Amino acid sequence: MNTQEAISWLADIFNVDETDIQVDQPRESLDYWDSMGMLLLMGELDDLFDFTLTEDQLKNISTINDLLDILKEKNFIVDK
Amino acid sequence: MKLSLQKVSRYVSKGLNINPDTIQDCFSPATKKDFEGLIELRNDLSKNQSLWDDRSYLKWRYSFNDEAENHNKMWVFRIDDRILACLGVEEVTLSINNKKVCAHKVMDLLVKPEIDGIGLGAWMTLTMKNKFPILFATGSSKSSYPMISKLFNEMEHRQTHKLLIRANSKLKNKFRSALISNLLSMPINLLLSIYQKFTYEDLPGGYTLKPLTSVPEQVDTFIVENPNQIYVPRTKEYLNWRFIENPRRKFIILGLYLNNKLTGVSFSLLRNSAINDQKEGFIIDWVYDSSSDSSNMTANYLLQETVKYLKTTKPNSISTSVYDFNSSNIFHKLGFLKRDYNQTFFTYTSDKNIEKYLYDNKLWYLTESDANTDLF
Repeated sequence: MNTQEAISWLADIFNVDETDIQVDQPRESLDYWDSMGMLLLMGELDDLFDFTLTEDQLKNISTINDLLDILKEKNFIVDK
Repeated sequence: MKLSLQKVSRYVSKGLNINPDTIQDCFSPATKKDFEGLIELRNDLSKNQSLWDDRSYLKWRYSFNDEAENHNKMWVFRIDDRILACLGVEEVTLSINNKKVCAHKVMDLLVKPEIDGIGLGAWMTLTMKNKFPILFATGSSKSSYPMISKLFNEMEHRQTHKLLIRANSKLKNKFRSALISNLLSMPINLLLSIYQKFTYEDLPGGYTLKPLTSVPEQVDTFIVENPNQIYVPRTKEYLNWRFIENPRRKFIILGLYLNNKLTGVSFSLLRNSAINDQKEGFIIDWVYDSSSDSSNMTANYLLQETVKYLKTTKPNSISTSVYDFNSSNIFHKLGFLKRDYNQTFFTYTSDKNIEKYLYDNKLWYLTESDANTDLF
């Protein structure tokens, strides 16, 4: 998937509109990214990529961009 | 989107730095030795601002005896004897399609702030979903709503209805001048009182209303099977526990008699509003003999006389919360208006045969008695 598709996928997970996925806003300011949102995200990462975030990654993700960077690093997101 | 308990166990264990195979061992019903730890957790989270005697409340609501048979349990999540979270579960009998079924109401969910965000609240709730086939929750806080709404089926909200008796405080909020609000209140209060005088029927001869100090056993005869309703049967035992033994509130219990035979009982309370400190009445619950009451006469008289009784204590308003079309109609006839303030309600079942009943808003009968806040 590319970045735009990833945003659409995240909007699906968090059950919000794509326009609500503000990539540079701190996680605490995004109502949908609460503990339940995080669990749903981890579940999807597991199902789709067989991937689990490490403790360090969990601690350091503070924006959607941080998450997208990790997924790009793993080649789960590829922008051509 | 579905989250399995197994998966969430892995994620939460990671956050807690424990082995996922042992996470279930950390979660069990509280016993006597957990009592002080629970009080500490609840004090921490309420910043010692609890408005009631929390020790008495916990002892009343939940069992802390290792061997005692109690239907209500406070489940605690502990690591090395330190309580990190808790979840209250009340076992209730629901009447669904004329069958008595065992259901569990979840409430009092608390998680230590330092581990908030790792999903422990969701894990505890998922554990209960795996354990019990029918769950419901009457209410949610701002912080628990996102989680509960994703794990349960959200029903129509419970509605609150309010009868305005004196307009003074409402107008005072609007005009902020005591003089103007008092002047305007006088004709409005007079109109309200005239409207209520003419709307309310005179009680026919033979009927009397008496304050009660306990719930008479005749109430057990009021319970009739209704295939079109899902409700917690109000037995004498339940009502005595809920309203007489409850240490959080003192309730006003009124019995309506026809020729000295009990035909209905209402449960109300008076409180000072947290917003303007004005006195308000609240009708919490009511039970009545509906066996020969096709036109709702008994219910009408019981609720009307309860309103009249509460009015003698000079409240500014009387409110009620009800999830039942029939009762809502009675309150509307008595001059109650729907308020915007709604309360959430959630259900869940893993039993496919029950799903069509449990998720049908029209079948449920709930009053404030089914909530667990006692209106604090």
